[in-house]
Amino acid sequence: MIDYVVQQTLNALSFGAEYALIALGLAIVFSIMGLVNFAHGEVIAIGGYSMMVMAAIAFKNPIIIIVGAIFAAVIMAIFLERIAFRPVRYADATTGLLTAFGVSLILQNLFLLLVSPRPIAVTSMYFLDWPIKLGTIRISSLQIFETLATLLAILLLVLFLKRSFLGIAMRAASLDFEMVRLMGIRANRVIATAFAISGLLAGIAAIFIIARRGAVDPTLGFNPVLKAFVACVVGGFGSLPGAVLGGFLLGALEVGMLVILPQSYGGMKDAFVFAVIAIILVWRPEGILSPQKEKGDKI
Amino acid sequence: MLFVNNLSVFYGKIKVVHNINFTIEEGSCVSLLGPNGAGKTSTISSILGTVNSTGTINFCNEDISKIQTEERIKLGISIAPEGRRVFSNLSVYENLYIGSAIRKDREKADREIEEWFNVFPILHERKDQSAGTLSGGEQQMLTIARALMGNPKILLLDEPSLGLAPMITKKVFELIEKLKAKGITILLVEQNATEALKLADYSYILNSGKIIAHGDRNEILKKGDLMSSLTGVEN
Repeated sequence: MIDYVVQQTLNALSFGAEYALIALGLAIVFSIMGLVNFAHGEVIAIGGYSMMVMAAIAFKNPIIIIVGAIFAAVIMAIFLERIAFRPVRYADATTGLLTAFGVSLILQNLFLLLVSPRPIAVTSMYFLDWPIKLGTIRISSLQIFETLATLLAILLLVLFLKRSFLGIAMRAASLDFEMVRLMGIRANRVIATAFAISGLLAGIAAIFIIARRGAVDPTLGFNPVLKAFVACVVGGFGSLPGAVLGGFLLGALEVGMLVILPQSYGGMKDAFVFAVIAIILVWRPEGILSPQKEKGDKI
Repeated sequence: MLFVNNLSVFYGKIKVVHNINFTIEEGSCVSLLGPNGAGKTSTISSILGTVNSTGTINFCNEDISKIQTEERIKLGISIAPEGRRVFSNLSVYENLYIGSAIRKDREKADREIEEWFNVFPILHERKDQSAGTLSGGEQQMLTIARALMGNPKILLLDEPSLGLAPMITKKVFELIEKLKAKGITILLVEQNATEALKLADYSYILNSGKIIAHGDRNEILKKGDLMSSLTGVEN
């Protein structure tokens, strides 16, 4: 019984880690720009496609593929900020949201037209597929790497936000962006950094999603981003700890429902998960760790 | 140092400041006085470049009316805004640290943070505490110190006494007096005309977006009834 609980806990951590990574990417951009970046899924897909390309052009070394995927996702995120989101930076939230959906659809269709509508196998990440046996518990190396990589990414992000000048400026910008500009800090620099970090997190997420699925397709990131969006909402949108909490909570709920529900109800797992989330939101409509809102009234 | 010429400020199509002119000499303290809605904060915002405006703003022999807010700050304009606007999720130390964003001389800036802690021991006591947990008066001190961390050529103070208890207001004005004595150029926007007139070398009275009077303290006080109705200052 204990083995079973440990096994499922590891599953929950692994799923939660994936959601937390993606949710953090959404939250860091939202906290500064007030933008729900639904094109984040396509940044993940770019990471996936870059893995495919690098594997095809003979970079069989997984380290090169990992670095390449992260690099491609970071560049894509910065590129999208520059060409799509910067022009609508000071528009209202609806314009930003529609822009994000538009960018997401355009990129998905470009993947369909220019690459393939079918999933393409990416199987170079062999070290994420090793079975590991700890006593009677069977886990895959993916679960360990995913959880550890997420925890490391969170730790490094916290250090960056607490210790570096730009990190402190980003925390300040999440509360009062205009005041940060009035300190002489360039808005473009803060926002581009936020997008670069979200791209980096998307790149890491892409590696684990590909390792789990073994293939890349145009909608690779779409569903994970929807789940991460839910994680952000339940954790408190704009709150970075909230995004992490929401991600792990969602992972735990999904695995928990698979364990609790009878097999015949397995297909309704998501309905039960969202019912629990609805109850949480009735209790905390702003999310569990909703960020403090405080702004000056003028300028 | 700062020459504002034919300045108008717009919110959409609505003109809230109408073709005003004023000058601030280096080392002086100039006050902008007037009732709510007179256009005082809008004027300050136009100097900072955060609102749409027309006319020219010349700062240290450079026309700044077309350049970005961040560039204006780098030229040496600093603001302690209305409502204080401390970064409440950052510690007191981090607020001061971020105030020195444009400084290249990091070591000197770090020493200045320590100097501010000597000026305001309460901020030192609470340096690791979130700025949002400070009292209104402490937040105002922090806001002014944060603005000065940028080593500005001119300090814009927007309603520094707003919402503060009389005792704290007195301390804030004492601080401004000390800054003035140090030779820091100050543009003081205030509704508390009594205190502002005592401090300022020269004052402009705004009403409905127009300058209706200007002069030193004695000249302003001579305006009598008009001043009483606009600013509450008794002759």
